[in-house]
Amino acid sequence: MTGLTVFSIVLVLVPLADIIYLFVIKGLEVISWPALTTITVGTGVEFVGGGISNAISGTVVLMALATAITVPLGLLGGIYMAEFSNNNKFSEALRFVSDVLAGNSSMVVGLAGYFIFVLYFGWGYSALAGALTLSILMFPYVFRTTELALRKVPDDIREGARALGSTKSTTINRLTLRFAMPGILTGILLSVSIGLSETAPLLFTASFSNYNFNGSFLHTPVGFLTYIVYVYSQLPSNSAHNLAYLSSFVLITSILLINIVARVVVRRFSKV
Amino acid sequence: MMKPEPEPVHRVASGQGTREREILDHERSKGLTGDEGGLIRLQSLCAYYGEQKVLDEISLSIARNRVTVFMGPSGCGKTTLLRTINRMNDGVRKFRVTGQVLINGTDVYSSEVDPILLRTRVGMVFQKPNPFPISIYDNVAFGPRIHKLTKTKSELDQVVRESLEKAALWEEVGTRLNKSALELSGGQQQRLCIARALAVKPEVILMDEPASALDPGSAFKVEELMVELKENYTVVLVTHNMQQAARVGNEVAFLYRGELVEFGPAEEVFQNPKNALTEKYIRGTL
Repeated sequence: MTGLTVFSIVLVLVPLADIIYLFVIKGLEVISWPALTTITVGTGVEFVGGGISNAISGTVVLMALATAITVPLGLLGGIYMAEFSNNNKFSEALRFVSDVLAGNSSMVVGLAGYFIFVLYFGWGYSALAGALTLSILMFPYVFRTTELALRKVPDDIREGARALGSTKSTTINRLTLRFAMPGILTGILLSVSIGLSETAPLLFTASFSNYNFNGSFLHTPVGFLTYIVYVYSQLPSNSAHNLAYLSSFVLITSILLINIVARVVVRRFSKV
Repeated sequence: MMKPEPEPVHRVASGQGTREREILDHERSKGLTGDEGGLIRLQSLCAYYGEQKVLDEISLSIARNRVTVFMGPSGCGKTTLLRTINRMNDGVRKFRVTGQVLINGTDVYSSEVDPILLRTRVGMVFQKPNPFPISIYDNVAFGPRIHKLTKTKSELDQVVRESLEKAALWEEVGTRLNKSALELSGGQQQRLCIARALAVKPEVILMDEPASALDPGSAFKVEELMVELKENYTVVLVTHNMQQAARVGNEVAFLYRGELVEFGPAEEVFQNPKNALTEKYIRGTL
């Protein structure tokens, strides 16, 4: 039994270590200040070179926007589900929709985003269309983990606060949310990681751009890191591959950093 | 089944006192209206969960600065009765109440009574200690903070200290107020919950079997505390522990299947129960 467990762990860890090793080694080979701070030159059909600052700035904007949309909605939804819904019909429906969303292929969501935001709303390939589409994919994670984290807070605490004359909203603000916070943060960071690693929905809605984000959220395509990984890794040139390696390295490092920060923050929060 | 009339009961409840007692009672009731006989008066109180009647025409009067005990076997309605006093069962599905719960002459179920304010005047301590998983200080300060009872930090410090002292916990925790409440023992946690309830300066403290989840030593301390608390508060205790009821209770109400079987001074109820059911319960043969 122990042998089997160890074998399984090795089975999982080896590919993971391999991936990290590859991208860290390759990433460190190609990383340089200019590569991070200059824009990409050329497109898929011609020679590609330069740096990835356009993708970094685009990804930051897309993620910031998507997170700003997802977190409040997911939080409010989760609070509603756990504290106010009493498992009524509406909440059942909401949970069902969220589960379907979470289980959906990101390609399909991307296509939907394309039809709704890019075409129907007429926003074109844009940061807003990309971010909204991303947030559809990110929402279920925040929504569900918030609900679950709140449900884990014992009812004794709610009763105790009520007996002190605390209103429901005061109890939520001052107590329940606080204790659910580690779980909620985990959900938020999970959703950010999901958003960071999405490619398909952004291909449909943000397209790609060689230029740094210029401050306009509509009618302007934006670059993003996963595009470079996905598209440039398939191009037959070393300089394109290097950009893909670099982007992968940046993505992996940021996800790692987010997780480390999350752990520290969660630990801080869990302490009294 | 015999049901005592509320009037004689109230006479028994507060009529045995001396002149001093009367003066004291009078002092305390200054500025309060409708305080004729008993701080809390239940009148023909019925409670239902859906179609099921769980309290049947309960009428009794709870005197100020006394420990009044509701006892009876499991499911007799004693906890429900307790929770009607601070309206904790509001919002429980299909729960409804008829009759009156008068505190200082005001029906707590009347439309002008805000349950939030009611609960600051009628505190509650639960069976299982339920400290919030925050610091000892923050637990006690929770009520004063949400109701903005204090203006300055030093005022709040003072309230926290006083409450902990009244709950006989200050000596044990005074030097580690910033430690988590969850690090305390069960008995300390329960006394912390009492301190937390005292911090909003209630008149009445409802206790729902507060010692039943504690070890005997801690339970004893909580019992002692109940007796001390009645100096300044009116204590209503639910218990199924008859020894405890006899030790701390001034008046005892025996409930059975949602009906008030007997109510009177503790000594009388335990030594000369008027009702056969009470006698059986006390003998342990019910």
